[in-house]
Amino acid sequence: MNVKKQLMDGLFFQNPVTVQLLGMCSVLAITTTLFNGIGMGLSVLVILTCANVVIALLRKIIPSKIRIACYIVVIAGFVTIVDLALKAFLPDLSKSLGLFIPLIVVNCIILGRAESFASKNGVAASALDGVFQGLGYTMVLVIMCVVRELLGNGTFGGGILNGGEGIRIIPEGIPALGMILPVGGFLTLAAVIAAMQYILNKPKKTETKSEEVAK
Amino acid sequence: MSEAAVKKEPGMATLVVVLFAISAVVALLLGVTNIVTKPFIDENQRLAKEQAMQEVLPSDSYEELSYTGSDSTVKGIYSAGDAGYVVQVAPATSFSGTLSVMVGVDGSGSCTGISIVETGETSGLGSNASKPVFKDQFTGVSGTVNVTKDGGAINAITGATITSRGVCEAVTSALAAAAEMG
Repeated sequence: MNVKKQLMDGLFFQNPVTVQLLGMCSVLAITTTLFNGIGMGLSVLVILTCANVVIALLRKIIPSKIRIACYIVVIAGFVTIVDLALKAFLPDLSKSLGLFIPLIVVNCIILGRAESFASKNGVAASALDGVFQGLGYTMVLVIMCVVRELLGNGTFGGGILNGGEGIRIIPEGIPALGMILPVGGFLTLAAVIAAMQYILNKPKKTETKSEEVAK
Repeated sequence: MSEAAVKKEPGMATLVVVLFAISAVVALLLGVTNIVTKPFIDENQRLAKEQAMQEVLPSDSYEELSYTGSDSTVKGIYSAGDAGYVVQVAPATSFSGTLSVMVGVDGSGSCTGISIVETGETSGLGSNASKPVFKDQFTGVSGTVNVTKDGGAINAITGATITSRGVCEAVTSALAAAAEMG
């Protein structure tokens, strides 16, 4: 188990969004205010970690033929628990994220990590993988939120700072509304992935790294 | 999956038992979670509804009336004593399915205020319908309400014309429903 490698993989070399290209739907849909990005990122982090732990525990019991069905049952269970808990104890956050919490069930980051990591590794390593991949996902969400909110709405920290209005940086009327709309999501995501790939490939190319990127 | 591959292929019975056992445990956990969270969720919803009603038309108590009209988007109508009615409407027009608006109507048939009870509209766009700058435009309106694009007086939310239309529709329905009640 190599904690530092797992951390770097989660954040950069195997970042779920920019390298593995998983969970695109939620990344495009909810990155309109900082509050949404952080809330969604942390929810995914918690669910991913729990699901990874349970799947790592059960990995020797689950027959490979029905593994996907088993993973989905476990994941759906955790998502529903988190959804109910948010509704009961944090109704504001639950209201703001709306449909996207139940939709974490079909977020392929969680199934992807269950299949490619938790089903082959121990409990502790899988828990760490959940935390680090979740952080990687949250990091990209936050970057996208900040960029889209600033360019599309002219504010920073919407939903949290300044009573939920966000701090206005660009005066009203100038920001390009398109950046908040879906088209802005695609543009921002493309730019973030391109920037990440450029940075990752810039240092002397090691054979393992370029191989991972090719996947 | 290398560990599984070494063992001999499990039979159909094993598959059924394992999947059943996992599902049963998850179902049990969900049941427990539901029992624990249900009172809190119901309480939150009741509070949210009550708060929304107080916001649109303050009153000491609300009495639920049965709505007999033909408008299927009217989800509930409450009498607020002499002050008028509070009508809950889920308009047919909305951007992503679940829009529910609480509308206060006074005795003379004009709107006293609106509150968005439930919304699945795009966060940051349609969800801005609950901001005062949009909501307050409805105070005092009567008859048929429309956004400026459709020849009315309501300024639509930037980038969320459909949501704005939905809210206008809800207010129009609510005013009509309250008028029917007398």
